[in-house]
Amino acid sequence: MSENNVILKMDNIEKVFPGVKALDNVSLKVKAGTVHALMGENGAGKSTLMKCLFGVYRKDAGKIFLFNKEVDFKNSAEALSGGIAMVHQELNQALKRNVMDNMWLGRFPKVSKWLPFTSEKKMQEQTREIFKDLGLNIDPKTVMSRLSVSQRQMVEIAKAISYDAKIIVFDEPTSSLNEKEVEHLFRIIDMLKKRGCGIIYISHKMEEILRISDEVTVMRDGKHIATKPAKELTMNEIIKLMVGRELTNRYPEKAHSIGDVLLEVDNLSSVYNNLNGVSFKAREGEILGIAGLDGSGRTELLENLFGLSTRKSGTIFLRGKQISNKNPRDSIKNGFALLTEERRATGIFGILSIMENTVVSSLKSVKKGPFISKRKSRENTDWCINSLRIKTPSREVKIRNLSGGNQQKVILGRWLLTDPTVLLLDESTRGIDVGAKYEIYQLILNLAAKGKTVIMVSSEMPELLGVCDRILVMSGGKLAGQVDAKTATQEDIMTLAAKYV
Amino acid sequence: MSGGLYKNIKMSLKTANVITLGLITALIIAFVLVVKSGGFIVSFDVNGGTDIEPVRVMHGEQVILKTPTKQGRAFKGWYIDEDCTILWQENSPVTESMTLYAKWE
Amino acid sequence: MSDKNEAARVGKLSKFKTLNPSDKRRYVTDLLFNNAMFIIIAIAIIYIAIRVPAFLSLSSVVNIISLTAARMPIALGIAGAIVLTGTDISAGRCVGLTACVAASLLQITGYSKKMFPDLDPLPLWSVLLIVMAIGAVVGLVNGFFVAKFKLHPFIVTLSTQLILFGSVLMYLMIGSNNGQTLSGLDSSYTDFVRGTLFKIGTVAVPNYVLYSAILTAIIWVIWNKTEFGKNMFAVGSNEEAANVSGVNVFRTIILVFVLAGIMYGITGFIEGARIASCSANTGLNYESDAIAACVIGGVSFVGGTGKISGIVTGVFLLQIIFVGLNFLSVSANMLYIIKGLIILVACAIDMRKYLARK
Repeated sequence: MSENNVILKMDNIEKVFPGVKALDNVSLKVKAGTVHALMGENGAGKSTLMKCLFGVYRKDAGKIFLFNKEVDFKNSAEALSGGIAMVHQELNQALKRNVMDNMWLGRFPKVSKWLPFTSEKKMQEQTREIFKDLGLNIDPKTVMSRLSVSQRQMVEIAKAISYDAKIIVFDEPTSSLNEKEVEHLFRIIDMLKKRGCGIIYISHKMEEILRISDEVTVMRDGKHIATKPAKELTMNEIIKLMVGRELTNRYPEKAHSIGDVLLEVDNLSSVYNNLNGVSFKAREGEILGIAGLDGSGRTELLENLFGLSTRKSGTIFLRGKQISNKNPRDSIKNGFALLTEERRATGIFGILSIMENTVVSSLKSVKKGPFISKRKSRENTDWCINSLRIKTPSREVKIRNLSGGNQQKVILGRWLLTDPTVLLLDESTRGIDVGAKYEIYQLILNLAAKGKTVIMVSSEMPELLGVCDRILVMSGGKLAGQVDAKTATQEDIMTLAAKYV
Repeated sequence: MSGGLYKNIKMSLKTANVITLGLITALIIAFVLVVKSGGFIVSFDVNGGTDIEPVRVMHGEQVILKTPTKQGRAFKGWYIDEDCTILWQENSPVTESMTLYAKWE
Repeated sequence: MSDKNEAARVGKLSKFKTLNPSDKRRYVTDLLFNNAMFIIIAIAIIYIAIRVPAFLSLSSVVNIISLTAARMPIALGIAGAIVLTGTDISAGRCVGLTACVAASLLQITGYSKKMFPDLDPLPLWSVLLIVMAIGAVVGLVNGFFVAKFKLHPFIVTLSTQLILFGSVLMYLMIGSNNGQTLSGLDSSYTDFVRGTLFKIGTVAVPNYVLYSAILTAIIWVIWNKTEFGKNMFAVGSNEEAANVSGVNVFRTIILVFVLAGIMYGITGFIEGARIASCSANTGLNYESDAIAACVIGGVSFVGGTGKISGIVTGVFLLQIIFVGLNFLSVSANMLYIIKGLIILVACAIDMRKYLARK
């Protein structure tokens, strides 16, 4: 292995947060023209390592060398001008501004050298050029909040590439992309490799990692475990390194039986969202998946069912009785629970502790008389921490100090404490590692075995096919069709998903 | 996720330190200035009589009372309120800036 | 229980020792900044105690405690609004209105300048209920406009502040009062509020210290032990997430402001007797003291966080400063500059705490 074309060298990096040692003596080397994958469970330290590189966090110890010169970026602006760009996992975009404003934030092109006014024309032209190069079909003047999550992710990727950086870090870039967009991204990465860039690729999707990376580094619990060429690794070996133990099955055994019709939805439509005339039935003990392209109405369906969005028409029957679910409180009373898609915006209470985040939806069950019982709150929180295997030193830790995956588990625990009859999950395993995903699948199957109904939206088709009994496919705001998970293929689902596009 | 008043503030730690330090300095300077110019002002509302200049009194000291004169009227004492119902006791310590009102027969 | 604390303390110290120098520096800087207010106040207290020994006399200390008790309920009320990432600048005028109403209904029979000459002083509990109701209505209006129309609390309470001021001015004109200051209060009222609770040596501790302590305890229970309290913190931390989690956001916001209004009413009831003469100027700028106390005490403008113990500390420290400056012969007018700067410093320290997240 020649040392000549090493662009980036991170040596013995350490980082401590209140109560957690996130990075413990981690080292990384990235060569020009290669893709170096970074893998590990949630809380393993991958995002933290990159944020230290990028200047978002200050590292506590260690050195970083870029082209053999030592660097220490104090903020992302310095990192960008130093030649390192990053596509973040949690999108940091100004949603009220349009695409080109976001692209050129911090480096707005001026009208001319003498007139220090920002030039809209230049922004548009340059944005269009970049998008053309990358094959992106988005109007630069669109307001960001109107784009779908996957489109926003593509804009984020385009922005990182436009900095002409030599090191580009992708942190879970395909979590919101569909198959076509993922292929597109891989073509872009190929182009960057040919340009001589070094690419760091963080992802949980093992098929992708094995396909595009040249080298793989595995981290666990903040420590560096191994770095090997991708050719020498198999999926099982990576999992073993990540988790520290063998995992024979990706998906647990299904042992539940399906009963009578529990939920009947008829002609559901939204006023302000793209959802038109969706009707379906769900049975007791059934795991119903919802597939479809981004923007096809999957999240809108769950939100409408839960009473979060204004309903234009439609009726809902629970065990034959009509219910209204006119707002979240009403829905929770009827035994519904909704795990939302974006936990940072609509899920967690950042400044509050894990315990407070866990019991908030089930306060009535931890009351003793008119007062909240701290003992009951602690018991319920501990139950969640143990059964969901949440990695945290205590239940008083502020939830914003946990990794994304552990935060997701806390919210899942919050809903489980309400003992729901119908559990609505929107991308419940997004950003969660393989080991934890298995635990969540097991949980879903346990709920089904108890006679509950689980309706889960997911962009990962293997997950839907492996866990669900039946899959509804949404397209263009309408229900395109249903398939049986045991017999369907990914092509079947894709065909239906494209029906009303 | 962290919201409230600080949701839209993007400031580096160094700038925040400078601002905070600056304000703390201003506070300390204000303390010193205010204490240096200490002293309560007791002013006298003679209500038509001969003028009496306001005096500066420190906390806990007594104010020296002068008697004003008014054509054809008898002076009945210094009072705390404008309606002259609460008498100011001559040897009371002063604890705040105030105006004393003259009562005329 | 104490073993856990001991372990935590030892853990902190050993953890500090393992940090590298640049981190040690940052830890110390953070410590200094976060406690800057307390350090300044401590130095000021020592200075004043040396210059004017009477500052630490028994009567002076009891006076400070009494002033703290008088200022506590309004701070407890406003704290709720701050936890919701808002504010309530109608507090002072609400106190003024309720103080005037209470005073007007409890003047001595036969007093020459009585507002309602034919009205005997009403029973105390009925007047207390009346002012609490007035406060609740003010809170209801504030809370409704904030919750329903999503207007920022600053704008809503600014408007109610002006309306309340006008109301006080008009109220003082009715009866046979004609805008004068209200005084001549019935002894049942003044004894109830200012009567001696107990004596320490020769110094008397007034009754309202006890009432204030009881109120503080009640609010503590509400904040920490009820569903409403938990909901308040959730809404303050992330309103959208609270809605999804099933919290009745609308009702929570309204209840927070109503509770605050009731606290203002009680403050007015106590204040009326305490200062014994109420006018349209009563209550002016009271909320600035209350907000400063809350921020010093850790109720941050970032929302969703705050402790009752912090509020008590904040009110207490502010009163120490103001009484201390009075001992140094600083007149009340000069205090405004100090007050304003204290608020700015407290907010800067608070902001810095929630920005320093690297």
